[in-house]
Parts: sequence; C-alpha cells; structure tokens
Amino acid sequence: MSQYQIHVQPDNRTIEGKEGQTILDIASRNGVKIKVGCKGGGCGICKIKVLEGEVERGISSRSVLSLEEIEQGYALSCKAEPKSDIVITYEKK
Amino acid sequence: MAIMRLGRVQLRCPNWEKSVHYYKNVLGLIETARDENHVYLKAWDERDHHSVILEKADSAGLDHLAFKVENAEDLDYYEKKLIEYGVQEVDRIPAGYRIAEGEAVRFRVPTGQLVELYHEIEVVGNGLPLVNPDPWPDGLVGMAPPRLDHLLIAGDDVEGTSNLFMDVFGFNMAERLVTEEGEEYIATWLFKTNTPHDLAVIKGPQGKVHHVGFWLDDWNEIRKAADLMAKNDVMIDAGPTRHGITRGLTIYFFDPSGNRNEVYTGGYMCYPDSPTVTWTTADIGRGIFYFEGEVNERFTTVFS
Repeated sequence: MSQYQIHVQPDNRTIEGKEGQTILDIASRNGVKIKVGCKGGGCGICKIKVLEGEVERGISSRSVLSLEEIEQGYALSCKAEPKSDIVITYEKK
Repeated sequence: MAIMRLGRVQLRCPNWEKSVHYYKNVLGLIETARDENHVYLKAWDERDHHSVILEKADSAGLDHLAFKVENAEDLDYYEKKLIEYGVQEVDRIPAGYRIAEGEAVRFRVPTGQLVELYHEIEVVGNGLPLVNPDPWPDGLVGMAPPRLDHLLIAGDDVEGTSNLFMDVFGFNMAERLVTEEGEEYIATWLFKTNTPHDLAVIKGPQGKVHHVGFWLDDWNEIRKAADLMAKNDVMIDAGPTRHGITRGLTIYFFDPSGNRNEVYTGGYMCYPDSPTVTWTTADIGRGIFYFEGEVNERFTTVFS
C-alpha cells in the first residue's frame, strides 16, 4: 500500500497518510485542524486547495464544490484521497 | 379540513449508492418503489406508500417537503387561500407525477423551500393487522424509526414562513428563539399535530435544510441508534443529548451525501391553547443542547 507525504500550508508541516485514507482523516490524526463538517461531501466546510500533486476527489455536492473550483485545484478534504505526494493549503480560523 | 401531518420529504443525494444503502439498512426505512433516479421509502409504522424520496442528484439538499391534508377538497381550498394570502408561485403537480401519488398543490415559502399539499397516496399499511396486532412487525433493520417526525428549514425570512403556516394553515407556535431585544425571530417551532414541532424554521442560508427528524420511541432506542451510527461509521454531529427547546432527546448525524438527520424522542404534548415558550439568544446553548450548554460550530453553520 502506498504512503504519501502531504505538505500542509499554512502550518508548514509535512504529514504522512496511506492510500485510501481521506485527506481530512490524515489531517485529523496528525493534529492539522481542518474544519470538519458533514463528512459526506455535502457542506463544503472542509474545503482545501491542492497546490501540487494528484488527488482523487470522490463524490461531492456540486453546489459546494463547482467544476470551476475543481479546475482551480479545490477539493473537499473529507472525500479527497491523495494519489501522489501533495501540497495543500486551507483556511485557518 | 386541515393539514394532518408532515407526510413527505424529498432529499437529494449525490453519493447515491451509499445513501440508498444507509437509508435502508442503517437508518432502517423500507423501500416501496424505485425508478431510475429515485428510491421511495417509508418508516415502518406509516401506512402511506412513502414518506421519504431519495433523488439521485449533483448536490445535496431538500427538493421539497409535503403535508398531507384531510380531504381531497382541501387542495382547492388551500390553493385559493394561498393565492389570496399573496403567495407567488402556486402550482399544481399532476397525479402520477411521482409513484403512488395523486395530485398536489405546490408553493414556495418566503425562506425559499418548495412545499406541497396532497391528499391522495396509495396506502400500503404498516405490516400489522388492524385486529389484535402485535406491537411491531418482524424484519425491522437498523434504527427503524416508526415515523418521519419533523424538519428544520433555513432562510432569511423566518417570520414570513412562520406566519404563512400559522395564518394559512392554522399552525401554532410551540417555541421561539428571539434576539436579546426580543424583536426578531432567530428560529420558530411550529405544530399542527400534538408534538412541539412538525416544522421548524431557522435563520440561515436561503432555501436550505438543517435536518430531517425521525421519531424513536424512547431513550434506549436513541442509545441503540448511537451504537448503530458508531458501528456503521456514520458521522455524528451532536448527541446523544437533550434539547432545552421541545425537551426532546436527540442525536444529530449525517447521511452519506451530507444531509443532516436526527433521531428524536420525548418532548411534550401541544394543544392550540398552549402558550408559546420563548428562548433568548443569551441562553441558546441550553436551549439547543441542554446538557452541554453550548452549541458546536458545525451545528449552526452546516446546512444542505
């Protein structure tokens, strides 16, 4: 099973996750405080931007993650899984 | 001549297969029909053909909610009354538009949701005889709520939607949450049956739904529901806990598409002459989650 490195901004930390885990789960386990919403891809609270690398976005609501946003690199971390080493950023509140 | 009950909700589910599996096997509703893009479900103790329709869709959320009226003539009566009240989008949905349903009157409320009134729907029964029945039928799975109970809808004009239901349909207000100055409604709990809410309305994103609530019979059932959520990796939002508002016992959780569900029990009896209980925002924590005394951020910010 593949292991992937996730570099997180603005925390400036690198965490590690396994293939098949969502970015939100990996972040939570490593103390990266991305906000947790419905965990069903329906609310958009856990939105992140993928700056580098590949992710599988999974199924989510178009109303909270538009095709345009996907093109810009956004993803819902509760559904997205890394498919390579990646660099992400999220809004800290 | 009146609305009898909340009869139906139609929920949109992007995560289709998992959502259908969840509503049937984890929540424990019974499938009564399906077509290419919909699955029709009922709670076990309901006698009508369906109370929940799942819709395969791009986005989560509520397609519409519907109330069952006592007589077929009520459709004409309320259609006229809605138009006289100044409701703009009043339409008819023809019989057979959805499986097992007769004609419906459809309108939009000030908070943006589509609401339907209907009388005719195929009756399939609750699996028990009408003479000397046992208390429940065999073969129930999951949390197995006996019935759909209520829903909480969001939007800007809480007062407008609340007044419409009270003025046109004779709903009563069991409870309300108001600003410190008491001038503006943050939320209202409205009833037409004898429970503290058949419909609740909260200030929030226009046209959205906060949750759909299903009845369970007691606190032990709520605990068992929590076990089932943990066992099936269901995302729990809050609870098990108690509401100050309605005094209900509750768990909030999400379906696999991100629509919030609730299992609910308790509360108290309401009558048309019951006074309205008022909560102020100063005590919102106890009002919403009585034990915790505070509301988690997700509960007030996540809608679908």
